[in-house]
Amino acid sequence: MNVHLFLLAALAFFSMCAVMADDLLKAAVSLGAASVALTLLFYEMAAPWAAVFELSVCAGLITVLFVSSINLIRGEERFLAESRHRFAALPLFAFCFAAGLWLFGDHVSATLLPARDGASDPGVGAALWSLRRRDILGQICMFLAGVLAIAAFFGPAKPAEKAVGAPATGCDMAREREDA
Amino acid sequence: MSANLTTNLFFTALLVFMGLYCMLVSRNLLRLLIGVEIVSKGVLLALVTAGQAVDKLGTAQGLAITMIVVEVVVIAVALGLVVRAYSAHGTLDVWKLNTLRG
Repeated sequence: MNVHLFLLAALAFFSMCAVMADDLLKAAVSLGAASVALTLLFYEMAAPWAAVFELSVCAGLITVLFVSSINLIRGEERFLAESRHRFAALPLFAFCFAAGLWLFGDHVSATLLPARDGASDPGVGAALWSLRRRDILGQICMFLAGVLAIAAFFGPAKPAEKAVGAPATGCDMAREREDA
Repeated sequence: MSANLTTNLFFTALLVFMGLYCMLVSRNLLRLLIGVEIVSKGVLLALVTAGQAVDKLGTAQGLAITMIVVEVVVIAVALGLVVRAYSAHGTLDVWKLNTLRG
């Protein structure tokens, strides 16, 4: 129980660091650390398959994607001002809502969760390949759609001569701002 | 089990609100995606907690794996969009990306 609470606290702490960090790189690394905490939590809750996917995909791949994207962005974009004062009451509301869930969690879970039917757990393999076979089809479709989208974004561009007096691109404008 | 369930519900709500707060206050497109990631972590925690509570952890893990796969595709495509938007406009500030405003 103590380990469970410690891991939950670590997950919340690293998530808060990701939200509050001024530098985007620090936010991305904090997000990776939160994923590691969630992985350990899943192991502690006897869910090793979800933990392995969380560690390899969320803590690994997504962190790498974020860090690569941040490195493609110039310096001043990493430190954009935020409008926190407009939503200053939201953290307090969130804490009250979460505390209400903690106090009335049993009632909420009895209302929302289905009753235990006594049937044995089918296991991850049977759940994925037999019970939820359409999910696999959905995952394949998502992958294909993602690959097509990335190919459309970063595929070979048509060679076009830049006309004299043509409007500058965003990169040119950013470079000019930096030079100035 | 009950204590675990209520504690996990508390932290699930906390994570979801943290992600929503991040999305609301941020002007940077990359930070919006970090908010989406934090919300999805809360939802994953809720999914595995529910599976543990009704003794269907295998099914819950199957759903969690599906959600992780969908999440990574969404984040990869969204990051591609963000990088393209930056190369086109030279900024990631959502207040300045208003060229489609009518």
